[in-house]
Amino acid sequence: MQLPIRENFGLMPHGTDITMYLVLIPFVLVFIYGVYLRLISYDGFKSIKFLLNPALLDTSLLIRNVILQIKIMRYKISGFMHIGIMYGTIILFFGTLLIFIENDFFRFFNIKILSGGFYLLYEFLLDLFGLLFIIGLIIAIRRRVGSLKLKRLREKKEYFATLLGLLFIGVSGFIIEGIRIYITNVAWAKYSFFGWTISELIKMLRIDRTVLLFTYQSLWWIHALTAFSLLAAVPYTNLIHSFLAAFNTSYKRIREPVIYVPSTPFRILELDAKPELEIKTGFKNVAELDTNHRIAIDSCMDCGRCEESCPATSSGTLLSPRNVIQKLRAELRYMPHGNIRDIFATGILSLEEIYACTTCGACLETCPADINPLDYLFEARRAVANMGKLNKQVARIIANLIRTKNPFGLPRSLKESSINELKKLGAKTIDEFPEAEYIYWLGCMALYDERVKNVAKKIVKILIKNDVSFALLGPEEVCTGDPARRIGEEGRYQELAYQNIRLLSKYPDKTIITHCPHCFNIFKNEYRDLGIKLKIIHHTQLLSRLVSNGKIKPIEGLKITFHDACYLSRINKIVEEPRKALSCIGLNEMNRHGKETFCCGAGGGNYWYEVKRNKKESVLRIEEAISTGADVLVVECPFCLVMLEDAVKTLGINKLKILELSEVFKTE
Amino acid sequence: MLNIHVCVKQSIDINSLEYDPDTLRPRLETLQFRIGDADLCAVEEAVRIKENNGGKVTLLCAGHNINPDIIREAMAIGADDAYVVSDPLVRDADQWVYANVLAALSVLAGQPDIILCGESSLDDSAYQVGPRIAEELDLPSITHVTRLEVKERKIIAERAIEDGVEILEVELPVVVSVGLEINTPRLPSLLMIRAASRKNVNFIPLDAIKLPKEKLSSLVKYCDIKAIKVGRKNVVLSGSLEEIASMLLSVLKSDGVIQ
Repeated sequence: MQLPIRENFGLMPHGTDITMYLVLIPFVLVFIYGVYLRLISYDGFKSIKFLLNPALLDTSLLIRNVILQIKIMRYKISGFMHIGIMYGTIILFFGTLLIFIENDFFRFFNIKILSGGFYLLYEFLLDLFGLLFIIGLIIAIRRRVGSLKLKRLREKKEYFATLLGLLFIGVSGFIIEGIRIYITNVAWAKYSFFGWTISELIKMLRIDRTVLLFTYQSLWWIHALTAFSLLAAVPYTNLIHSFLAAFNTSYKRIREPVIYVPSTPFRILELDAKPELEIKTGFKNVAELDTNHRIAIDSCMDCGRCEESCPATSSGTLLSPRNVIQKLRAELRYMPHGNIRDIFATGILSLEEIYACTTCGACLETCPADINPLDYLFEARRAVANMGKLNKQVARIIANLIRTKNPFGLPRSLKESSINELKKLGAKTIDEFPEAEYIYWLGCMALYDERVKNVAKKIVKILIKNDVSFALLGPEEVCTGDPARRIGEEGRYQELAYQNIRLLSKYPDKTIITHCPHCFNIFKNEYRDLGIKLKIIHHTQLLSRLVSNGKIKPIEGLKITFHDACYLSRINKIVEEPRKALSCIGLNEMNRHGKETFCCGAGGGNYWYEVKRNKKESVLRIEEAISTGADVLVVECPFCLVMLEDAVKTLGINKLKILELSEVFKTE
Repeated sequence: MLNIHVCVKQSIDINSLEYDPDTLRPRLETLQFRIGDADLCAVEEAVRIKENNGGKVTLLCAGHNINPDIIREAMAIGADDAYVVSDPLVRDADQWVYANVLAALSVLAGQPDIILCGESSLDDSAYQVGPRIAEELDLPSITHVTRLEVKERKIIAERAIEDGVEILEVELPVVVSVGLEINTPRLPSLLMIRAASRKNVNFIPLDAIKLPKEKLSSLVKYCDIKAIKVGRKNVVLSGSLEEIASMLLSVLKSDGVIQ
């Protein structure tokens, strides 16, 4: 057998290669202009430095998310589809590039790369990935039309055009190969297994040789022109995600173990030292976003997974995280061509929309490209707060926090009486019991809400019965500032936070226990930026320990299901502990559980104001809980408790009871 | 350019007012102060007029122990300047004295085109100061205004009357008092308040406004303030529906609710 080699441009007229390069030039120019436009919208030269900064690259993320595609592989079919299209594109692109390099560069040195065993492997791989590429594309197109159409995918001409274009490249490539194999009839043809199969088909059809040659040459050109067009289209269409999403999923940022911590744009204590400092927080137009946030929105593929998982969208509010990102993306793409527009004045984002977000983090948990809609919603809220444009209900929460240091606006005397009730059960304040090992942080819900007050009483009973050495802070405890921060009033958040920090820094060795996931999260992850590191556990962690030591026993005969709090399970990855605590009972899980939990609707300040909804999140969640057949829904968050209990009451359901985790255990 | 004066009062925050359960008198030690809501609406309206027509907004405030931070919080809405009289003599002032001091302050702060007032204060809620200032300065007064528009040297005001709306057109200068319906005052963020801390609050000694003594002595004296005690009797009636109904009737009769 003669040495297998690739005969380039064998069936094309002489000089095709030069003509092809001439034809390619305008496409390349269009491509370069597109890249230029994109770079301008990412903030020009700064963005190049940002994109090419090796210090920002996290190799392990690059391997996980880009090379191994682990993030998208969570979704089995989409993962397979994406690997097929992505690696298909890469292998086919570089395979074709190799031909050009050999033909137009190495040829002059009489070097042949595509020969021998390497060439055979090359032919095999190109056929294999070509096939995966076509299968991937067929899946992608099939999910957009007809009976298998997915609701989350949008019908946009751009998306169909790019997919059909790619499919045409794949299919026409194989036909060209088939004809080539049929005509040249080389001995090693079977290595191109799919192209060979097609050549056998052609043989069966007995097509005339001149017709075949004409078909070959015309298809070759159409194939090339389609490929050039798609290349030129990359910076103008969502094809650009191939580069941007790869970048977005592999550059370093705070990620583990928390998935989301808002930025701290200033510290009011530092402002006191430098009163002349001009502070800029929030964004009113896309030009005020930094480069990485602009790149992130441009990497959005409009896949709609965030929208599917969003509680605010499911309950029929105006908010869809996908729309927020897509609207900002459109604005970003408009930027090089026109004036920078105010997103509030133009109505691109409405207050109703940005305040519907419960900050539950479902969107960024699910996004395959690691885009974080929360970042934009938070910054938009900060801009609103800084213009003093908060709506009446939201402003009232801030006013309450300013005047009474709790979001309810209730007087201190109520707080004192709640603490006295706990003292009657045997709890002591830290002044009375300074040796205590733990500080039990009550939080506003336990101090001002009757239902949650009972939870605190139950926890106090459990702590006392099990000889846990703990003390209360007493009435000096004020709101953590979490609602203010989530609403966008960073300054008021810090005022309250610093007040708590002054109090808590007196007890640096003590561990804080709290039953509130929101207090837990802000203490654990967000007070850090203000200069204090607190030791803190959530009571589920303590309860799971007490259960595994056999110290507490559950009430018998409960059929339970469990609702994870977003701020524990998703944001702080505490999933196992409550389950360990409940393991002695047995648990019917809801479909959405653990990190995929569904928000009760209270997060992000939503507990204290109303946003127009078709169906409340809590109602949707109760329906899901009932479908498990459980008669008790156990929660681990005071807000979830009140929200879900309200939903049960409004639905008039008697068969489902809501209990806080601590209430599942016996104290008598 | 319009010169707009806004009168604001450092009022007792009645929402956080606590009463001694035995004497029913307010607990003076827990008193908190803030600018009343109607006054904040007046400031907001002034700032909106400034934003639309250009001009300068000056706050006027009279009282005792005035906290400049409370004034700055109102200035953060968008006022440029503040004139404050903080004097023990104004401590137990009635609306007549307040109006006299504020009118004198307004003269001192320079020719106003519009004087805006909240129609009533948060604590006293007497609905008098606006019209009294107008009387004192011999200016027209429009009360209970729910919509305001400034056109050249004229003001067009909608005022809520019992069963309709009255639309008035008045030449400037004028005194306007507004209610809560006119707008939603913006809540200045902490950063806005900090920015306002660079603004000047002019504390004016009471002598400097040269008011005769009779204009500083109240016509009204407060004798006492007491809370109304509300409680439940916690009586549970039980029995058949007819029995409960007749028991309820006799209880209501014996309490004198019905005859």
